[in-house]
Amino acid sequence: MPDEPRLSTVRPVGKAVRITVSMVVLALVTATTFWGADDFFPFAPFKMYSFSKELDGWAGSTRVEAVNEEGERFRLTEAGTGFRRAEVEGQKSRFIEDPSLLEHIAEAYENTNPDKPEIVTVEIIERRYRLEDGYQTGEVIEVVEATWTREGADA
Amino acid sequence: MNRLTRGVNDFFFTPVPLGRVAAMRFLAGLFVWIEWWAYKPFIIQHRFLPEDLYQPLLIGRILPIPAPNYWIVTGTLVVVLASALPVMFGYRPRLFGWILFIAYFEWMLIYNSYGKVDHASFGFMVLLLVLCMMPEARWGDREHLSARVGWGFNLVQIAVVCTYFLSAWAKFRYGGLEWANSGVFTWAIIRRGTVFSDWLLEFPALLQFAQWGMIAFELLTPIVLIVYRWKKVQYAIVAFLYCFHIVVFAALTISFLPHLFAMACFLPLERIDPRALARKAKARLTGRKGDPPRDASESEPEPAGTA
Repeated sequence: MPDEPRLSTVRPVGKAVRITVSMVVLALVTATTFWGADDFFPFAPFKMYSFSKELDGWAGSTRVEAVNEEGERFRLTEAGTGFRRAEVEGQKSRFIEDPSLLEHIAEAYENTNPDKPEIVTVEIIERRYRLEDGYQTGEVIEVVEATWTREGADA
Repeated sequence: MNRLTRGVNDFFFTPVPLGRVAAMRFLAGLFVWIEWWAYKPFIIQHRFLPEDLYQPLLIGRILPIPAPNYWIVTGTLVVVLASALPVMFGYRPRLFGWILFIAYFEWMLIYNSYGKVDHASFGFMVLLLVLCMMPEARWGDREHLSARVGWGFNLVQIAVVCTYFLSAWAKFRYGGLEWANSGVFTWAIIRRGTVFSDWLLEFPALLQFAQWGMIAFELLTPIVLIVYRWKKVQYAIVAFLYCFHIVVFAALTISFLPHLFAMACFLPLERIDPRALARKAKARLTGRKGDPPRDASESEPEPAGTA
């Protein structure tokens, strides 16, 4: 056997440094849990599914639909644009405030699918399911939350 | 050494065999190769997104990181994949480990800078970082132990536990104490239910019970760190965590895959030695002529004179 040490240890200074590193990582990720936001990534609060949802009210599901030059209506999915539903929802207030930004989703689709007919209309639609006491009542409504239509297109 | 120092010392610096480093390097590179086409194919698709949809994170605004475009996204992926290969197979793993870590971090910024931040990668990013600092290692090495490696994997384990434990606190913060009594699982299943979970919509009380269970489970996860002395208990808890993710995946198709790869560093992967396994398989296939006795071939190659 070569003379390599079988057990490599850490000197006291190295230990102090390493424990400090662990504590700083732990402190940062704990602090952003309580006072931080996603903006502090990689130290972002772990807030997946952390919001309360009313047992009486509406549970919403967002989608994006498009109409192309040939008049066909279809869903703009993650695979079609590279823009995820969660990203649509994350920027939804921007799109509602300024629907002309939806043009960029059309652009993403056309970049991804250069051979397909171009898009003239993009809509963000939310499908809302009525809940009462946690049960679906079967009542469903659809709300178009933002629309963009290419100038000059007769939609 | 008094008891407290010894406790702190054991918690952070329990030596870990180097064989586990080789295995974790392989798994880390393997995940990177799986992620871009099978797990998160939209990240590479982000190369087609116009700059107006880019919403830089704090770190992207502080550091001079340009907005992603076609060539930045493609180039980052090429560097990530190219540097992952030598890391996987232990060729200059520190040098290529740093390249991989930096490129992968940029990859994560491309991933998370369009209006949604995901939270499954924290432990995996910590894993890539600590792997850069670990020595060269070969599969199946249970001879050489390192306290530095022990510290590194302990940090990954802390990050993995934070992903559960702190998410319970995030629920208290964002959802309030009524989170567990709300309709959040109903909402989740309406959005992304599967054949395995859609029927649960008929039983909202059961879903609320599951929400309480979720909070309790997340708050209890630090136990997996505390029981580090009792390896069998620890492995059992880790097995439970993997099962939890299988159930969540069946119900909602949320898999937390990078987190699952990072969590593997809890396990005694140094026991896996592909070469020994290949030898054994070969011996079995070639009709066991001149085979050594079976239990001798399965015992570890211990050098003479060690106990």
